[in-house]
Amino acid sequence: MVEPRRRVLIWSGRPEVVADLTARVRELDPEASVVSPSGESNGERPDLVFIDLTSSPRTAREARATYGLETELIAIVDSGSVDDLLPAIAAGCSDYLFHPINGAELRLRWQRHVAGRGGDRPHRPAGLSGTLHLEFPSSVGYVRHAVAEVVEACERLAFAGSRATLNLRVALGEVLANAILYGNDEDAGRLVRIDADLKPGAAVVTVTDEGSGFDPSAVLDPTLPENRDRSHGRGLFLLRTLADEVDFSERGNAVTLTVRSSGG
Amino acid sequence: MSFQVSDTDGIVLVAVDGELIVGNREAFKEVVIDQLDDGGRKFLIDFAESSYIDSSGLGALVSLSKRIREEGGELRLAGLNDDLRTLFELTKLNTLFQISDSRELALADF
Repeated sequence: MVEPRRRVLIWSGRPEVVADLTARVRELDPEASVVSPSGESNGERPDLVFIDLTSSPRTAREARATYGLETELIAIVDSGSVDDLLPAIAAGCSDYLFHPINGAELRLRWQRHVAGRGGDRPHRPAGLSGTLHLEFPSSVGYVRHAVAEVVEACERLAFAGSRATLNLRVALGEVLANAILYGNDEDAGRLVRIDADLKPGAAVVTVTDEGSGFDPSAVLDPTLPENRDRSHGRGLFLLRTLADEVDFSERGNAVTLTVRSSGG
Repeated sequence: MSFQVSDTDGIVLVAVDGELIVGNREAFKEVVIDQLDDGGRKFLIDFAESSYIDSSGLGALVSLSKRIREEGGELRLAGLNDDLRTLFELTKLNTLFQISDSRELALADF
């Protein structure tokens, strides 16, 4: 059977990014049609759109709206656009690549999102539908964006008020900080994953890191007068105080927190 | 997410715009310690434009307060919204800091 020609769009205002990606895609698939950077696809739906977060003429949300769910969107991110990555993923990017492009990383994305595609590809829901999944490198700079995405989704889909803006926000922030700093040792090559299930009655959020886990029982009470002056040791206390339930996986590298819409 | 520093009658005012969390607590500490090194002793941190502090941010405030006290100064807080006040009450840090409702009240009283 003859495979249809792959169609790739590159949305970038940076000629060096366009040239680099075009050459690398042609190495992976000499037959691929690569179009850039106008954002036009001659009416045919592309298989893949690279969106350069630094200089793309259009956004991930526009791409999703124009091409639907069958087109894969990959964000190109560099030091100048890291802050845009999580919003782009929340808007529908399925993956990301760091610029300058690493050939092995690109091949992995190509195999994952383009070459291996068939009719039995799992269905990906459109936007937020009560669940939210985020995956990002272990850098503390991501914490506020990740927390904001989950809290905003909670306010839209589940519940609002201080249970979202205080309890969920702070508890999730603490879990993410722990996962990045202690679970993954701030190694940007290791990922942190968030799986959030947001329902009107409760937000249930699991954070998984790639570390070997830790012992959650060995923690001082930071509210005792002798500990109040300490600069560390409040994270787990806040997590346990603000979340209604906290469960640690046996290995200790996954934490599931539950915040209900009303206290108790 | 930024910190505005100004001097009002010998009081170093640091206004936090955004969050004070794990991702920016080091930058925050640097801003305050620079002022301490320059001779500032009375510090007021205004959180009127902030809605999110995590345990790292609380820890940064605690360690700065200690350091400023060692130099004979004091660090006070103002403008906490209800969520942030709850956070200070839960951690009992409201007993460690003098907290005013607004920047104006704090400045008048310092």
